[in-house]
Amino acid sequence: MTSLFLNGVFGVSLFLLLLAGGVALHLLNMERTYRRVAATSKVKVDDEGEPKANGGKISKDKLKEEIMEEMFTRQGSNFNAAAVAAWMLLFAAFAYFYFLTPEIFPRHNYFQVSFLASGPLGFAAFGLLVLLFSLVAAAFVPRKIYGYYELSKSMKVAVMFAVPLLAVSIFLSVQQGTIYPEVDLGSRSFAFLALFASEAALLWPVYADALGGMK
Amino acid sequence: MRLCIVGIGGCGGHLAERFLQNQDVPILNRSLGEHVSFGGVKGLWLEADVQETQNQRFFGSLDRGCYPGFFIPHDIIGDKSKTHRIINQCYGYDLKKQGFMRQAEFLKAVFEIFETDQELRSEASSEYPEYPSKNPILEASWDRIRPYTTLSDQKDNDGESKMCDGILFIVSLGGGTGTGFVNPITRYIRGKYGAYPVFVMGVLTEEGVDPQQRAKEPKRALGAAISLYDLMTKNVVESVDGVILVDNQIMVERFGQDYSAIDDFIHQAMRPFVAGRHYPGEDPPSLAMREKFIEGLNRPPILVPCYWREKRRKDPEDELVKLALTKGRLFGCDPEKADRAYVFTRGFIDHEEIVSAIASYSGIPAERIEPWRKLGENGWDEILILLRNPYGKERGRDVKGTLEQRIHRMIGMAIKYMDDIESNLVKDGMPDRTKRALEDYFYGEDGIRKRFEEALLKIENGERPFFLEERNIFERAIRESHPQQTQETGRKVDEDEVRKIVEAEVSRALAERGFGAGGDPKRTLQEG
Repeated sequence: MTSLFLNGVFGVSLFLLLLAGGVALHLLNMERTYRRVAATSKVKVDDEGEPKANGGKISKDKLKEEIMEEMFTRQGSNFNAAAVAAWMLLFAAFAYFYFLTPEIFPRHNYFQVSFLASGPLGFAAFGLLVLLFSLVAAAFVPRKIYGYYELSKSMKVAVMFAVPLLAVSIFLSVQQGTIYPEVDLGSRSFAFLALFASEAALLWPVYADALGGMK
Repeated sequence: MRLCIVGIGGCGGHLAERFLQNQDVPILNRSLGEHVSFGGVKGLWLEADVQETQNQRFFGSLDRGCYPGFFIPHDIIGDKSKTHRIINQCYGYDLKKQGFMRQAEFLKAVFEIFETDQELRSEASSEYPEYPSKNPILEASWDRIRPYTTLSDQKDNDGESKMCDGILFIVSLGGGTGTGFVNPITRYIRGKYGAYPVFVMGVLTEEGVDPQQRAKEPKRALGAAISLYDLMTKNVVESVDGVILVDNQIMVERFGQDYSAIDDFIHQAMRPFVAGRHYPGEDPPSLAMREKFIEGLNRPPILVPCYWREKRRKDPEDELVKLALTKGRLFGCDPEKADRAYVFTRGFIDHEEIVSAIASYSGIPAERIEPWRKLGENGWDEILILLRNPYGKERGRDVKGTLEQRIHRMIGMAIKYMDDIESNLVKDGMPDRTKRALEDYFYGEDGIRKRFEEALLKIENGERPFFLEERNIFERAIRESHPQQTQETGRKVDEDEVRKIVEAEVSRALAERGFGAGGDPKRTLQEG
């Protein structure tokens, strides 16, 4: 089990696979919604033509645009703020877990960047850099992804709960960096579980919709 | 369509709470941004009992800037108010009474006094110059509702938060505050804005003794009958655009005395009505909904909700409709007697299939079935069918589970209560003019008792509508004080109102003859 936590290839692949799966399923969910609405619509969908309101026809793109517009639901400021924070922390926690200490990727880690590793605020600067990069990606997630799903309160709570969970994961990874070259397997394992549980919680609305859609 | 939900009284407040729940997750009971309700609805709670407002934590005081908020209408009347004193001394009514304990006639009388007593009106407008119209209580209430509507001056700044283009009042029929307040407030709004859509959802209290307040059924039935009578006897220009009826007896049989579960279920059933996420091109404004509801009618329709929800599966339409119309009725009715059906679905529902399923199970012609579809929740399909006037069968009152039977029972109970010597509807301590007015209203030649008896006969004969003419408590007082006016017109009507009445009559006549959107003349004729 410990080797699983320390297996970098497995971990990074799993992380990216879950992310890629989420993106793919989100696109699939949108496409499925469009297809189902088109199939049950009163208006005929014209593959090429422009929308013709009077003739009861509508172009594919126009219908898609209208569906997306109608699907959008406001989820609330608390949730949106927490979701953006959670996604930023997810990337930060991922970076801290796999790329802070050399025991997972000996040639690709924080200690290889000498000006950071030797600086008094190195850990923080490393984290802030990752947060800065991930801000762009995280900022559009609530509007471009969660906004299109009808999220239950429990789903929202799970997404919001990812924030403290990821903070714990980051804290434990920082601890690893502090005690390096020693390794605390217990906290490593917990950091791993917190990281992946959070990723699952953040992506769950998309996966759940895809599962529901398959039925 | 975006509705402003106004819960009135205890039951209305509990249900409004369900509709207005914040969809955001509060942190330490706070939301950083705007309150986000399901379907974008907004609203408030009007209550008469201060203690009720203190026993809950969801609504805060509107006057302290809370949202969602409550408002106690009579709070604007001060303890030393002259208006208060006049009403108390001259009519024997306490304007500051905390709750009305199943007395629909109490608030009805109070608001009528403001309408009829010119001296009181001028006193009230000089005492409350901020509310210059004839009734400061109603005006203050409307001032609290109006900001959530498209009639307010507030405009949509961020492109997201939209104002409501219609109002849904939620009341219990057989309670106190909601039962008594709904008619005056809807009439007041209609008097100011004749075309603004106003709907009412009334929850008829259950049979037997109310376990919470020990109020006996006959007493509650009288309140419910008076309230329903007042709602149904005004023309569509003055009254509401539809009365959605829910029978708490059906709910109690299903959920026991778990009123919280009942409120949750009623809210769930009404979600397709208020939900957003419409199918493209299927988002009518409330005004269009209003026109559909009252098309071909000159009195507000009764709308019976039938709801069902199922896990998503292939071709769900037929099963959803069948179960909604058989097991999902929220009020007893005969779907085959309905003259129209307004259908709200959530999920991926086929337009043609849903129309054909409803037509085959209810016999309503396809052109009189109006579906509005919305995207649903993950994995669920839902349907809410509002059947318009699904009653009118001869001997229908003998058939279990019909609207006729339930309403017949309610009116019968109301008469029983009026005849009970212990009811003491005309109290000894009241001033003479009030006693005379009440005596006349309840037991006079054209009093409400007589009209209830006529309604029973109509129901037995399968006639509709069963309530016909409006009846006021201080009717005789008005006649005596303004004989000329009433001899000529009955009451003051302005040109605009006359025009609207004539238009409604003309469109009804055209519909009966098969012109315009009317359709089946036979069915329209049945409406009487």
